[in-house]
Amino acid sequence: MALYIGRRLLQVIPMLLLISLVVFLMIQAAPYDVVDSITTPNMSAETIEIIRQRYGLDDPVLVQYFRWLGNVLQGDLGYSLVSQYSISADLAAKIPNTVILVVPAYLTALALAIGLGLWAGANHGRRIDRFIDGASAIGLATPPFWFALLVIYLFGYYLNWFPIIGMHTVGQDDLIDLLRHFVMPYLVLTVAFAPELLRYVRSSTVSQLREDYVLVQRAFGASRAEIFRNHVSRNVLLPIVTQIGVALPLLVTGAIITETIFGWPGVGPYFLTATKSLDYPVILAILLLSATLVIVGNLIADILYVLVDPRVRLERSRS
Amino acid sequence: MSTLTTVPRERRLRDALARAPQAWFALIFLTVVILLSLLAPLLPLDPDTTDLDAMSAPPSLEHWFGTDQLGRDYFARVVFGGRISLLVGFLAMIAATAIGALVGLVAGFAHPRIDNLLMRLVDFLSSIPWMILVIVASVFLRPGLVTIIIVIGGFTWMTTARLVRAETLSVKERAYVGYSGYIGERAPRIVGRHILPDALPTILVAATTNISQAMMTEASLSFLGVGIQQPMASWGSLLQTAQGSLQQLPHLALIPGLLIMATVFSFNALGNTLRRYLSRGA
Repeated sequence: MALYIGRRLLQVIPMLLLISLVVFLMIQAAPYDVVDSITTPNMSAETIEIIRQRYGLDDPVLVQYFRWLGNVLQGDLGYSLVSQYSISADLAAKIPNTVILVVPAYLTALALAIGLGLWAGANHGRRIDRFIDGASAIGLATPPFWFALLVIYLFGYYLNWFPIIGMHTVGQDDLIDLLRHFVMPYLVLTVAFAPELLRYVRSSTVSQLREDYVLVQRAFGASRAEIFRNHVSRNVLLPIVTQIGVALPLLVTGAIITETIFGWPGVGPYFLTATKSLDYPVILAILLLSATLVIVGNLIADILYVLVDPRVRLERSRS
Repeated sequence: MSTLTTVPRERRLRDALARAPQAWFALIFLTVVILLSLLAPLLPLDPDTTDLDAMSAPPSLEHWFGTDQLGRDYFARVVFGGRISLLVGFLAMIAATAIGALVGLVAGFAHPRIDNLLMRLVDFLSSIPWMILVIVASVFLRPGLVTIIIVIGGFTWMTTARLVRAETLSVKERAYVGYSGYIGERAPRIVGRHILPDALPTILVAATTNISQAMMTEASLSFLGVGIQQPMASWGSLLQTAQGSLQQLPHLALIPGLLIMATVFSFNALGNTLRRYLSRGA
C-alpha cells in the first residue's frame, strides 16, 4: 500500500513541475509584466532599469523560474497587475465564499444522484427509469447560466422571494440574510452538478445487476430486494467514494458561471474580472491552483479506491 | 448475437429508432434547425432592420418571437444566431474529432514510447479544468469567431483521443492487421485501410458528443463575454444581451436557451441511439 502511494506520488511530482513550468513560461510570454504596470511613461529609462533589477527581471529565465517556484511553494503567488494586491491574500478571501456555496450544492447533488440513480437502475427499462433517465438527459442539455436566468426571473423578479445579487445585504450580515442570498445559486449549482452524477450511478447500477453474482444469488433463492440491498447497492456506492477526490477542484472552479451571474464574491467573478483586464498573474495563479487540485484530487481518488476496494490490489501488477 | 447480424442493417436502424422516441424528435428538430440556418439568407428575414413601431414587443403574428429593445425582429436574430452557434459547433467538432482521432490512432498503433508521450500530453491537458483552459487561451488570442473555434477544437479532443486509442489497441490485435504487417504493408496504409474503418463507429459517436459539448462551451463563453463578440451574435451572446432586460423582456432570454437545450439534447440523443445501434450490430 505504502509502495503504491509512493509510486503514484513519484508520477504526480513531475506533472506538477511541468504545469508550473508551463504557467511560468506563459507569464513570461505575456505582452506586459509587473514592471510595465508600475512604471509611468515619464520615468527615465535608467529608473525603469533599476526597478527591473530590483525585481530580478534581468536574471536568466531559469533562475527566475526557481525563484518564482520557491515563492509559490511558500504560498506567495505574486501580485495583481491591476490592484497590486497579493493574489494569495485575495484568494484566501474568495475561496471560502466559493466553498460554502459549492460544498452544500455538491453534497445535495450527490445525495439526489445516489437516490434517484439506484431507484432508476433497479427498475431498468420501466417507466420510472425512463422518466429519471429522460430528466437527467434534459438536465445535461440545459445550460446552467440559462437555468440561472429562469430562476432569477421566477424567484427574484416575478415572485420577489429572494435577492438576486450578492452574498449579503449591505449593513446586514446575519445568517438569515446569507441564507436568502444563498438559495438561488445553490439551487442552480445543484441542478448543474446532479445529472452527470446521476447518469454515473444509474449506469453502474444497471451493469452491476447484469453481473454473475446476481444470478448466483437468485439461484440460491435470495429475493431481489435482498440482493439489491446487500450486494448491488454496495458495489455501486463504493466507487462513489473516489468521487470525493475527483470533486476536489470544484472547490475553486466549480461555480465560475453561477457565481458571476449571482454576483457571489467567490473565485468566479475574481477570475473573470482578471480575464477581462488581462491580469495575467491572477489568471495564471488560478490556472496553477486548479490544475494542482485536479492532479492531487486524482491521486486521492486512486488511493481511496485501493483503500475501499480490496480487489483492486490484485491488479497492482498491471498498473 | 448471431441472429442479430443476419437482420438487415436498415431494419436494425429502424428498430433502434423505434426504441428511442427521443431520437425521432432529435432528427426532426435538427433537420428543421439546420435547414433554417442554411436557408436563412434566402428567407425574408433581416436581423438588423428596426421596426420603430414595435420596440420591445412581445411575440405576435408579425414578429413571432417579438422584438428586442431596438425593435429588431427576434425570430430573425435567433435564426441568424443559430447559424453562428451551429457553425462554431460543427467546425470545432470537426477540429476536435480530427485531432482526437489522429492522436488516438497514432498512440494506439505507434511505438509504446510515442504512445506514452502522447498519453502524458493528454493527461496534462486534461488536468486543467476546461473552462480555465479555454478562457486562458481566449485571453492570449484575440476574441472572435475563428479564435473560439480554434480554442474549443484545440482543447476538447482529449476524450476522443482516449476512446480511439483504446479501440485501436484492440483492433491492432486482429489477425488481418497482423497479416498486412507480415506481407509488408506500410504503417500509414495499415492504419488507413484496416484500423480506421473499424474505429470509425467510435469516432462517429465521439463526434456527436463533441458537437454538443462544443455548442455548450461556445454558449458559456459568449454568455460570459469572452466568446462571440458584437456585432456578431450567437445563441449564447443573445442570452448575454437578454440578461440585462430580464425583468422586462423575459422571452428574449427564454427562447435562445430553449433552442440551445433542444439542440444539445438532440445531438446527445442521436449519439446514444447510434452507440446502441452500433454495439448491437457488432
